[in-house]
Amino acid sequence: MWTYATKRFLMTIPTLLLVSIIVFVLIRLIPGDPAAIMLGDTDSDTALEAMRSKLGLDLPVYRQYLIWVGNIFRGDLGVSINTGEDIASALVSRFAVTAQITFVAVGIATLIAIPAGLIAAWRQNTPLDFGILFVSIICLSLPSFWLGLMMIYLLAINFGWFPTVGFVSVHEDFVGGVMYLVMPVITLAAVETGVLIRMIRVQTLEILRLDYITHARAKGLSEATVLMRHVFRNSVAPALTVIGLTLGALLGGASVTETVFSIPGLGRLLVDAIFARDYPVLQGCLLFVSFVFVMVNLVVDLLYMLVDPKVKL
Amino acid sequence: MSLLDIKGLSISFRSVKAVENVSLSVKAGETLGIIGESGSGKTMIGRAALGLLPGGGRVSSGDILYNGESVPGMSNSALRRLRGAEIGMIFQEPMVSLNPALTVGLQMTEGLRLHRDMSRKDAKAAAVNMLDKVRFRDPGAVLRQHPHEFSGGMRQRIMLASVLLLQPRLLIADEPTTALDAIIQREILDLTMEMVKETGTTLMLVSHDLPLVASYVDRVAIMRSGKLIEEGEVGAVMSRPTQPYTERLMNALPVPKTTHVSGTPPLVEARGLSVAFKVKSRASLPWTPARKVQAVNNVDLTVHEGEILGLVGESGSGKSTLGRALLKLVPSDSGNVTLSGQPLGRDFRRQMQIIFQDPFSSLNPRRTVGQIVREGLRHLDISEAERQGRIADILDRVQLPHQTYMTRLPHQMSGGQRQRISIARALVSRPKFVVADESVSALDLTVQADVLELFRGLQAEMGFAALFISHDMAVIEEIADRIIVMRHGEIVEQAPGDTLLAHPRHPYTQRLLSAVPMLERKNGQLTVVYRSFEDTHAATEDVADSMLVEVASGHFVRHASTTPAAQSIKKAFHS
Repeated sequence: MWTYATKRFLMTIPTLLLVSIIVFVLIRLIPGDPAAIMLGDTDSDTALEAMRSKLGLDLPVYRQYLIWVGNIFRGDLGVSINTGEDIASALVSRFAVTAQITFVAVGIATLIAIPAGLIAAWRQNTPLDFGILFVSIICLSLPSFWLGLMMIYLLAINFGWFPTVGFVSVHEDFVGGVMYLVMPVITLAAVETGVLIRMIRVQTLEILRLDYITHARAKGLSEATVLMRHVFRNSVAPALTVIGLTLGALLGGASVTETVFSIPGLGRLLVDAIFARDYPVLQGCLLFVSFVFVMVNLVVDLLYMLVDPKVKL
Repeated sequence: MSLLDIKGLSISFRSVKAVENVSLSVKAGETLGIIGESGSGKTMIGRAALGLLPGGGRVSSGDILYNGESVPGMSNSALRRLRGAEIGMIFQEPMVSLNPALTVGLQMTEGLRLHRDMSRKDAKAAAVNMLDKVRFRDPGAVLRQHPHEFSGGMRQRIMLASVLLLQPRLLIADEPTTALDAIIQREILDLTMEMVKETGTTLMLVSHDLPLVASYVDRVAIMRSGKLIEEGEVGAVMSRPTQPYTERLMNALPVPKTTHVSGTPPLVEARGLSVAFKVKSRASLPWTPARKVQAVNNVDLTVHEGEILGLVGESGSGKSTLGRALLKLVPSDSGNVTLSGQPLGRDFRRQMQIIFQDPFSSLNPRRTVGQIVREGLRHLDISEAERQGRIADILDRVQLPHQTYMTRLPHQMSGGQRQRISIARALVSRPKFVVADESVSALDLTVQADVLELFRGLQAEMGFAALFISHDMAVIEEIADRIIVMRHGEIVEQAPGDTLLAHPRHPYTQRLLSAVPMLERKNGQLTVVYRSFEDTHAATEDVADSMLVEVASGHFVRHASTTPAAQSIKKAFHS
């Protein structure tokens, strides 16, 4: 078990190394000279040269890469061209915001989808099953920007139940923070719930057909025990991978939702950096998002060991 | 009084009747075999007795009385008290009848803790005791392991232990050994009978295999298309069957073929053929070397023109791989194959064809029978009229009249019919050599007999040579001129059919043969007997350094290289 965990952990090192190279090369492939952008309107060649050597752009590419990676290990991702803000600390504070919304949204989606999917499959082809399926299809086919805008219009503007847009940290003002979280979380959770319900339902149908379920029933176990002990783990295990992928994708910034609700999250930072041609921020963001994705998948694979005994090799 | 009384039972799935008006009774302490082929409704009777019909199925008329109480009329909680504690059930597929996510211990003890209200410790002790009875060496360790750590036979023993742990009065075993190799099959059945006798449990053994079951049960009930067609004491039913169908089930027993040993020239020859597969576990790093599994190890093989060479071995023996390696369907690591003395060139597949095992996945579901068979002629340079003629001819020969079947799709046909299409597809190009890889294993016994007869007829007519691969000694006995026995990737014995059957020398061959039920007439009574052999001490098993030794004309047996027979061959070879 521990050898598997160690091996799986070591596997992330080459992955991350590869990711860093791709991110580094991609940024350098974008047409345009960062030095020129930083200086703004100028004709002075000497000023440009000076800026280039200050940024290290006159060095060979591999040296630039090594310097960059070296700095990353020291926690230094550089500063933003536009604001002069330290990128590492910006990433951390933005990530905290995104993580709050994402974890709550995916958590809620999982808590709703697992029982809903199990029950829908258990009661296949009954009105209950059709009802759950209908709701899940609606959930996953609503575009998130539309759902977000409609909620702002109805719940915030017409009824005034929630603040319209913006974000307050729950650490500073718990009730206020929660109020700001409600609508973005619902927006994110709706789609994920729809996808997960369908997936868990199909998976459960598959499991219910297997002999070991009939065997469990033939032992005289109650339906509740059959579902909880024999069906649950086997049908949720594959869903874990999907939950992990969703979590990874959303932690990397739910750009649309964050934009609709004006939330200062990772997705907004990335989108803003692209518009502003802020290369260092863009580079740092991409690397960080990939890092988060790889880590989430590592955790999911390790969790998999707990539900699937065959992985304990 | 009977323990289980089935009265005029009908089971239907929507409008389809799976079981029709069946009346049967099982007395306490007896063993009853319910025999039928797929779709005969035999499984549904067992399921209905537990109130566990699969989705959509219901008892439409009649009644099942357990101990005088009506099972279909029971409440859910009464049913749950019945299941496991009163009636235990063993399923067919040991690979899917245990939950892969839970330990064996939990699955064994959960029924006990539910019905007997035992403490965890007592339940565990009972489970250990039971595992010991089904001959596990370290029962305590077994409880902590997961199902995937055991082989099929071991899982079925766990299943048996787990069901008998609750001391049910009635045990329903639904095809408990069908998924297992012949030798293990008998082991499991013997063990089951031993346990059943010891505990005085009543047994209902559901199977498609009358000959196999016949020596274990007191009474048999024969089912066909949902109806009970014959029932009675086993000896009586077998000696004087009243139904032609029963007779057909009996005739599916092997009638050894009279071997025609011919002096025909060799057609396909393989020398030193080896195939290894690389296996990587999921939890390994990309640069760790893969483990090598030697599927076929240095095999020499000759198929003569016009002969059927039978290749038999248990699953994992490498027999299928060998067949495929001959046709270059899997790459071989070393060795070479020749056809009529020539190395295999570009177009050898016109001469060498294969018939696969699974009649369901080996035919493209979107193509008609005519299109499927036409595939076999794709690379032949012949006129359209001749093409049409050949397709029609081969379809007629496999008894699927082309006027009717040419435009049908595979899903409109039965398993036996599909397998005939596979045969037609392979034979339409008139190959010289055909590999039949478990070609009848997925078929019901009576259908199997039909297809085998057809294959033999075609072979006699068309004169092709064949390598007939099967795990089933009974099938091989019936069809092969010469037999090769394979184990762990090596040939252990090779001889003309009648020689091998009469004088098997290798202990493994002897075990294989003694697992095949045979019919024997004793004082006018037909009974099932099993062959037994004296220990010949001639061949040694499982030694690293071994070689094939010719013990009689054309009869080769694997010996340890140190035995005198092997030594003398070595000497002759080196001088």
